[in-house]
Amino acid sequence: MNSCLAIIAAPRNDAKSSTKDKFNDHVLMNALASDTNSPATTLQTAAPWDYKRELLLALVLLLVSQLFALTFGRLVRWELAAAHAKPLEAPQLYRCFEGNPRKPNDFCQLDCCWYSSIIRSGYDKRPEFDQEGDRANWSFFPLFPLSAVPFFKIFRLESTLSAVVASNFALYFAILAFLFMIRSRTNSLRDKVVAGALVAFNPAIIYAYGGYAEPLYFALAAAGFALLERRYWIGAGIAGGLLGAARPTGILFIVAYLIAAWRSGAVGQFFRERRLGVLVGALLCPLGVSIWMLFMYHRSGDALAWMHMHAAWGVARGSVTSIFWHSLAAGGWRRFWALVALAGFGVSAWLVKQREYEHAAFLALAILMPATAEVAGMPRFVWWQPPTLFATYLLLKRHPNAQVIYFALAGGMASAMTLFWFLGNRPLA
Amino acid sequence: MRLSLMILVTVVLIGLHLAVCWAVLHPKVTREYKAYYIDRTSRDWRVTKYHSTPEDGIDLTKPGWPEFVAYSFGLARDASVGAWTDTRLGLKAGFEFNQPFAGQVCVLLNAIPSSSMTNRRVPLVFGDQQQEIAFGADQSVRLYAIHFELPHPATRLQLLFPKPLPRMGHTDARQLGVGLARIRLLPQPCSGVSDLR
Repeated sequence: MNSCLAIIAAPRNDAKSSTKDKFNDHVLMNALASDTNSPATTLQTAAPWDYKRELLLALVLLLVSQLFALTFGRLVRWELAAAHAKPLEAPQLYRCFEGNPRKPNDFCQLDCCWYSSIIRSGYDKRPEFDQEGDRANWSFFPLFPLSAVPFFKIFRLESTLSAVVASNFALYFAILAFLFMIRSRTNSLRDKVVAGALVAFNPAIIYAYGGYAEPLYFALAAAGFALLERRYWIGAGIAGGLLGAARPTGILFIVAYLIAAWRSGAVGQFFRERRLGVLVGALLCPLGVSIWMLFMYHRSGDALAWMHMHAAWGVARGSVTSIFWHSLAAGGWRRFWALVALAGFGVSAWLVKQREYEHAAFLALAILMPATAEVAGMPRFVWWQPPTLFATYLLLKRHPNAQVIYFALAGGMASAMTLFWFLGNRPLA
Repeated sequence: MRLSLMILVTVVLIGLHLAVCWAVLHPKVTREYKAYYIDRTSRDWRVTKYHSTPEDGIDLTKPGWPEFVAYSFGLARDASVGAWTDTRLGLKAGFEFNQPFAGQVCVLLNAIPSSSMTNRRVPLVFGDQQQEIAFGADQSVRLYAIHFELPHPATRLQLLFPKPLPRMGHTDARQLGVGLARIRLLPQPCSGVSDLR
C-alpha cells in the first residue's frame, strides 16, 4: 500500500510546457493569496512527502476519534440504563432487521439500515417497503455498500456492523486524502495535525461511525481535488468517477474539474496539441453515476430511479428560496439546518474571494443540490465536504489563536450529535 | 499507440454516456410508477380495490378505490377528511374511471374547502363539460350537487385550480384546496335526487 501511495503522490516532472508554468503560477498565486503564514512554495518545490509520518498520523487521529465516539456512545447508554429508559426508536430501523438473522449494531441507523440491506441482499427488485409499500433501497449509491461487502462476505461480520466498519475504515483514508490535498499548504507537523484533526473531529463525525457513505465520499473528493491541483487529469477523473458512484453530489466534481482544466490552460493545450488526457479525465468524471444509472435502468426501467425514489420519502423539489424562508421561519432544528446551509454558502463565497474557484463551485453546488428539496441533513452535507474543511484549515492557519475556539465548538457539536444519535436520532434525520 | 488508445477510450466513454442519456429519456415503467415517482401527480401506489357502484360512490375515508375507478390524481389521503386536493401534485385533481359516463349525471360531493378556498369558486370538469362549485365561508363538510349533461362518453372527473395554492404553514408544505369525503355519481338530474343528505 505504501508503494501505491508513493506512486500516487510522486511528483510528475515530465510535463514540459508553458501551461505548466501558468499552472504553477496559479498555485503560487493561490498560496500567496490564501495563506499569508506559509512561504511562497509551489507543489513541485514543496518538501518531499513524508508519507510514513502521514500514514501514522492518520492512524493516531483515527484511534483518538474512535475513542471519542465510543466514549460518548457509552455515556448515553449508561445514562439510559441508569434512568431505566429506552432510546427513541430511530426511523426506518426495519431495514436493519429485515432479512437479518443477527442482532444489528446500534451505531447503524437511518440510511445505514438501507445500506445494510444492500450489503445483505443487493438492490430491491421493486418498491415494497415501509407502510405504503413504496420504498426501495434505490436511492443509496453503490460504492459504499460495495466497500462494506468484503467485511460481510470475507470476514463474516454482521451486515450493519460491516457498514459501520466500512465507514470507519474510510475515515482513515479521508484523513489521509485531506493531508494529501493540503500538503502544499502545510509547513510543519503541527499543520498536518491540525488538518488531520479537522477531519477526525469533524462536528458531524458521528456519520463516520454510523455506517454512512460520507467518509468514503470525502476521501474520494479530497483525493480528486489533490490530483486536480497536481494536474493528474486521468487520476482526477477516476476519483471523480468513483465519487459519482458514492453519493449523488459526486457528479458535481465535473464542474470543479472543468474549472481547474480551464484555469490551468489544459483546455487550450487539448485543442492545440491534441492532448486527450484532459478530455478522457472529464469523460471519466460521470462514469460512476453513468454505470449506476444503467444498472438502475436494468433493475427498474428508470435510470433516474435513485432520484425519483425520494417521492416515497415525501421529498419534493421546490424553490430554494421558499425552502430556506420557511425553514428559517419554522424555527427549531429546521432553522438550525438552514443556518448551517447558509454558513456553507458563506464559506463558498469566501473561497471565491481566495480565488479557489474549484472548491467554491463544488461546495456551493453540493449544498444547493439537496437544498432544492429540503434542509434536513445539512450538517453532514456541509461538514463532509473537503472545501469546507479546506477553508477552515486556511482560516485556522491564518489565525492560530482561533484553533482552540474552533476545536472546542467542533468537539461540543460532535459530542452533541453523538448523544442525539443514540437517543433516537430525531434532530439529525 | 497511446493516442489510439486514448481515442478508443474517449469513443467508448462518449457512447456509454449517450446510452445513459437515451435511458433517462426512455423510462420503461408502468403508468402507476410514472405518476407516483416521476410526474408526482398521484399518490396511488399498490391501491386495493373494493366493490362499489357509482351510485354508492367513492368513500374516500376507506382505503383503496372502488373497482370503477382506474386511478386518482392530485389527491392526497388524509385521516381527518378522507382526501385533500394538493396542488403540489398538480393543478388538476380527480379520478379517471374504468367505465364511461354519458347523458344526465348528478355528481354529489361531500366536500370541505381549505382556508385558502373559502368564498371561492372551483371549476369541476366531467369529460368536456364544466361546472363550478361555489364554496362559502363555512369550513365544514357539506354536500354539493352538480348537474352535468354529457353528450359524449366521459371517463375523467376533475377539479381545476388556476395556480398553486399557498402552503399550509412553515412546517406543513401541503398546498390543500378541497377536502373530499365522498363522491357519488347518479344517472339522473340533481333536481330529481331526493336523498340530498
